[in-house]
Amino acid sequence: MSGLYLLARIADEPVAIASDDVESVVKISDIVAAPQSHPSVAGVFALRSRVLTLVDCNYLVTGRRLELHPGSTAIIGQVCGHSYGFLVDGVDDVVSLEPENSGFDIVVSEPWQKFVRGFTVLEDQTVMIVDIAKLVRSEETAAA
Amino acid sequence: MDDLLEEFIAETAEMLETLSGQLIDWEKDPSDLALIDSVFRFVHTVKGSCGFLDLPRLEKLSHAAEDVLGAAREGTLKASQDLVTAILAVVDRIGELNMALGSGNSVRDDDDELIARMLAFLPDRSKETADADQDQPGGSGSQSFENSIEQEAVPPSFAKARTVRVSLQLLDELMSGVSDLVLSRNEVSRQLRTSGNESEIGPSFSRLSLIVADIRDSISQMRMQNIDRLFSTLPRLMRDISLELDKKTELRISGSQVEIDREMVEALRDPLTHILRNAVDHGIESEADRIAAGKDPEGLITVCARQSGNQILIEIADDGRGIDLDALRRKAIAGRVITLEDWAKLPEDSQLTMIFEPGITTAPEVTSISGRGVGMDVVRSNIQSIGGNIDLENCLGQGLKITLRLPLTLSIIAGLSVEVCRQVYGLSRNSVEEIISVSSSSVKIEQVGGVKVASIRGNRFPYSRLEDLLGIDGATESLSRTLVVIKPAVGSRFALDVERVIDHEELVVKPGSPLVMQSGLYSGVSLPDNGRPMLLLDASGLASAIGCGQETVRSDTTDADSGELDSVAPKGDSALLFENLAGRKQAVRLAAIDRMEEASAKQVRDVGGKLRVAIGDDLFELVGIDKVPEEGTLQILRISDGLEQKCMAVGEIIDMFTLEGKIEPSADPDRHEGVVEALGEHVELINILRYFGNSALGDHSRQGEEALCFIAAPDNNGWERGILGPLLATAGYRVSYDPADSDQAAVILGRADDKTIPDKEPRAIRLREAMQSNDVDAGSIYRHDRTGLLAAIEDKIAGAR
Repeated sequence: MSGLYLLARIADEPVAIASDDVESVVKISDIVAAPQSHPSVAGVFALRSRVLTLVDCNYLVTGRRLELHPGSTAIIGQVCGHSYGFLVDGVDDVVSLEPENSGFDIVVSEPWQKFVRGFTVLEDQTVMIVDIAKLVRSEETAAA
Repeated sequence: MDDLLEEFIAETAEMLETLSGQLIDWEKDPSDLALIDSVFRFVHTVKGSCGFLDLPRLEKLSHAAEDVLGAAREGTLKASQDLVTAILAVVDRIGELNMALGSGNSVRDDDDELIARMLAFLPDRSKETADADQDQPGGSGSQSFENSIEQEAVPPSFAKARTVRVSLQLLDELMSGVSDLVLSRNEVSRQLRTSGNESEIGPSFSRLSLIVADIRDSISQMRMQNIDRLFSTLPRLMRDISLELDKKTELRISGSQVEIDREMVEALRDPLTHILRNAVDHGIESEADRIAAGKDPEGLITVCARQSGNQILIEIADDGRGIDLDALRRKAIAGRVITLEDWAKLPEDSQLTMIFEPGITTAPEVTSISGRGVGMDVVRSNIQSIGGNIDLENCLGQGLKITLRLPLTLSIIAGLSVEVCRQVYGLSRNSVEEIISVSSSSVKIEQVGGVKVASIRGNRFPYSRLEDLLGIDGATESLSRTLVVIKPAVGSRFALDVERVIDHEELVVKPGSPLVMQSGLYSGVSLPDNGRPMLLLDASGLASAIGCGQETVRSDTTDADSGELDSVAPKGDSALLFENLAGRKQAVRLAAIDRMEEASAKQVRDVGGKLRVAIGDDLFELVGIDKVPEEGTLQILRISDGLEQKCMAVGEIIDMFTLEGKIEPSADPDRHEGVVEALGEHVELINILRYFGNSALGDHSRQGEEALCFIAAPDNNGWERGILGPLLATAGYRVSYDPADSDQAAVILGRADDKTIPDKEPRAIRLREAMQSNDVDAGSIYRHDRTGLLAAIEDKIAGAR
């Protein structure tokens, strides 16, 4: 599936996210804590009169919370009718990519396995293609 | 009838629309059975409705078409191009007539010709049917206008299309769109406030706000649906269940005009079905048992809906055997839901709620209808999911009454915001019973066996701090903390300790994402005026987090005569003690108070001959004050009689207390219900009805003759004379305490244990002390249930006529 991809960094690793899944990229300044939620949830925040759940992608991979600072970047996307913000280290670019399904027999480490749906090569660097729906759904099933 | 006709016209037009494509296909391929079927179904439906609506012309047409199509379906008639043409002519005529019905135009009556042409295809019956049709002059009654003038080619007109059908999805989108609109307005309002430009944009913005509010109201109305839609399926359901179980039952439905949220109709369908099934199966005894118990052999189930304040009450009562608590206990223990020890600790009404536990049934054997132990837990979860409550009123041997309490709308709730550790959370006000300061003298928090218990005026509640439940820290230790007593969907009240209660506000509820909701502590999210998202706490979720699945309210004051059947002492009504503006201490029933607030003197105006106070967008009549105050702020109690709200200015709010002991009669029952003891002093209990004297309650007085109510008050009992009498008088009835009047009274009211009223007295309404009824006072009414009481009086009077 070729198309536009958003290049971002999660836990210091470059990832690509299909731009079809991305509604927008926003700076998060103010969040409201949601105690007792899933640990990957950093909190909820308001965006244009909607209330979104902020998922800490860093936590999903490393188990460590990302420190929220002014200018923290989140990728906004919808999964199963709910809007989420995905907190990432940063967003770099939007590029047109051709995912390469064959020729990669890489098995990535445990936490990544759940989110990665393919790989691509960008200027000689291997980039994982992350499915944002899986960022949410793998956690839902784990919780159930 | 008009509604039905309109519905019929809309439905027929819609069916024709979907059919038109198929008709064309059918013309091309007359032998296609599937197409014949759909045309057959169409004429069959039309025929059915026509007979019911008394539309003879349409009925005749559809009947004939049905005959022919039926034959074609069975294969006795071969479908040909000509036959199709003839049938289509009839179908077209049905369409024309239908349109004419809507617009009030007439259509030329050559129906018989069309019918004859079509019936000619029918092998044997063709001649006679056509002749028979000729004999009856077509069209009469409501359709006579169709025959009035013979008009050629009247242009079709859609003059009467007053309704449109809209897909539910579109409606939902519109609703959520409007919710978003409200939220954006709030955000703009917030930004305006911070930018300080309010003066310039102010007027246009308030106009925008008004429009948004109007749209929101219309949308809420759009969401509303007559509860009849839900109830109309019940008689059939009852018939089927009764037949299957071979029990005779009668179903009485009242309150079908109550409007409820559309989503609620769907959410209630299953619970109601389950409840009715249970009632017939477990509740109603076999005919022989009923006769043996001296009951009418036919079981009676009543379903009644009414609106009470911002809640909808649906009561389902049967006159069956009720719930046998012993049997329930055995089942619960056998099903390992509870141990005998725990059971013994529960008060009766919590034992009752055991029927909602999965795997519990009191049915001795499993039938095809119920008894598998699934059902009541479904009922509870469905009701909870729409923010409702269930109350049970059990009366062994006399029946069970289940009351469903539902919020008026789903998406916008009256909320209460509370703060803890600088985080703000919302609560549905429906589930909040009481708000009381921790430092109040009537509150004590104690540690018992590792758990904390809050004792409020002698009632003990499971207690927890919100920050402990949420696992956050940073709370301030202060005396200004507040307890919120919460009653979740079923039983089980508890006290939630929060740092402070911030505000009452209307909250638009949005579903939260599964990652947030998984804790079970939240019921959704909302975005209030300040633009910061707020998580809404779920009362039931908090209850289970505290670990109080069961009601543990105990009364300190054990009744001396605890030998009585109701072992749980009824909790007295609460009242609020305050100082009025003249510095005099008075009390008002808590139930009459909707909320407390402050208003500045500027908000008070003398307009339209009355003092009024502007709060938010609303203007309320202000009582308890004679002239516009010059400056400062006023403490205001917003009081309500369930229909109307007014504001009462008070000097200082002192505390809440429970109405215990006797209410001494007042010399002026119009002004005061009586004199009560409040925290060691005797004060007047204000009769709030005096402020609502000319409200809807007084309407009865204008309905012609005033019915006489005799109140049996043998020992000058204060309640009868001090409260009941004035209440009935305000509601427009004549009241007498003189036994000599009892013969001519339309209604006789008395305590459930009053021996002076004969047992079989048909005019009697008995009033009981306890919320829950027992078998001694079956059929009685809880004496503080004013709505129920007035309804019962109406019933009696209506029955007497």
